[in-house]
Amino acid sequence: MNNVLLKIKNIKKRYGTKEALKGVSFDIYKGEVLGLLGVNGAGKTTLSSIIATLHPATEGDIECEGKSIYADVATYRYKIGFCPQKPNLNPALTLEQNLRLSGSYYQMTKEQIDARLAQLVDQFDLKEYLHQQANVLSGGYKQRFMIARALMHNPQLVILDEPTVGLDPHIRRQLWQQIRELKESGVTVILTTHYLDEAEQLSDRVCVLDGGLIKLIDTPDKLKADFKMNNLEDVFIALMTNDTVPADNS
Amino acid sequence: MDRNVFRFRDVFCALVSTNLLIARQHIVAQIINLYIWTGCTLVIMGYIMQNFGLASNYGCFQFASIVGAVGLFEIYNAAARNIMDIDGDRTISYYLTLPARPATVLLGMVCSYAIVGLLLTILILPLGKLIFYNSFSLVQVSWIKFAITAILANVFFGIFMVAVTAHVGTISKMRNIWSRFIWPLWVLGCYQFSWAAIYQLSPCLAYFVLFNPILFVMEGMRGALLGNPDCLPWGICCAALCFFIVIGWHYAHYKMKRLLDFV
Repeated sequence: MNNVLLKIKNIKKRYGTKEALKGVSFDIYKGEVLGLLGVNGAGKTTLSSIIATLHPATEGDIECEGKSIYADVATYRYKIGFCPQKPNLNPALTLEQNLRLSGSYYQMTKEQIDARLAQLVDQFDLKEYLHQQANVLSGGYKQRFMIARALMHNPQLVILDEPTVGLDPHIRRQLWQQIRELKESGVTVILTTHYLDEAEQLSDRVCVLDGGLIKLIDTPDKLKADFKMNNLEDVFIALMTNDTVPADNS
Repeated sequence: MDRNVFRFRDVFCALVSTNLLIARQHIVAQIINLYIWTGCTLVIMGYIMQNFGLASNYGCFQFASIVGAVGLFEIYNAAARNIMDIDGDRTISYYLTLPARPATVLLGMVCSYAIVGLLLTILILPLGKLIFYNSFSLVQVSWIKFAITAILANVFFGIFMVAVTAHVGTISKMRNIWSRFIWPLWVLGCYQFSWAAIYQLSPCLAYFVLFNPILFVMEGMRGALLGNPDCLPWGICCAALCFFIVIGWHYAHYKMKRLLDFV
């Protein structure tokens, strides 16, 4: 397909003797939401942090629009926004300062920052806490600010690492809606999650990782049809409890 | 390539602004603490200890050392804040995904630390003048030498702070910062005595002490503020500090890369 945004090519990651990723390859298409699924230790966070260029791969390459991202990491970083699992807003600054400074790191002018800030504050309903510091926020608001910060410079690709973990169900639903809106605005999303219902609701395709390898990657509907099951959770459990993968997914 | 140079410059300036914005929240408290600590030390060393046989000009000698060491005193707090961040929120992870090299982020930390250190170094001068008045003559101060020494010293302390952060790494080892790094370098760095005094005592020990970068900060600052002829030549002190800045930077970068595993 010619609308490939990222090409992940045989990515391996070792921490000492432990191999967290054992050679992962797949493509990410422009405008899609790709759900990264897997049990704890499967390599989801490692993979998302490598795609976000927080950590280097031990082996392999990632191509963005045909060029290795490592040839010019700075240019690639303009295209991505990363929202890690653990909120890392600067606690010494107000949330407005966090967002404004985020714009200045990406060479945005004051006018651009003002306009984008107003847009994001409206989109994520952040006005109430804008002049507070990060440590007064509830988990749900922290995640909203994290996503808003990741979007400040209008990236093409947003990497959300477990954005709804530990949140109340109604807050999760609100974040789902915001992720849908991101997709509608043409942003590509990599969504790492433990929640199968979330992946099923939001993802165009899901990629199941197990022990540092891709077990399968396909659309939720196709997986349910192939496994003859009603929901993705049942597919996931079947996949994790026995090694059988339908022939056309192997 | 050129485009990236401008990008890195912009990210660097924005990071320094961020760090200074945060530093501004604590600067008044830092100045008060520094004035209390320095004031007490100078009164004791400059006046009280003379009754125990200390030379009458020792207060000024000690003051010049304190001016040089102001940046050193802040290393514990700054390194501890960074270590708590690395073990906690990890805001540094966000900075490491900005469109710049990781070295830009580390350089931003060094530069903002050096700017704050430089400010404190300048602000401590009036206190010394107030306490020693006629004993500390401003006529003997070489202001150019003072400015260069203060800049080099605080850049070095900024790098030292990053290196200590990377070397210690976790909160559980934070107690090591003072006892294993700052204290031995400080007391063996000719803070309370001159290099010439050690040389008279033991040339062997004096040559060993030349491996301590703090020595060159102290001797260089005393040369600049007191015009002391017994000090090591000022130019050698500056050259040695430049050498330690280069070595320290490479070490700090290497250790930070190992700690944070950045691209």
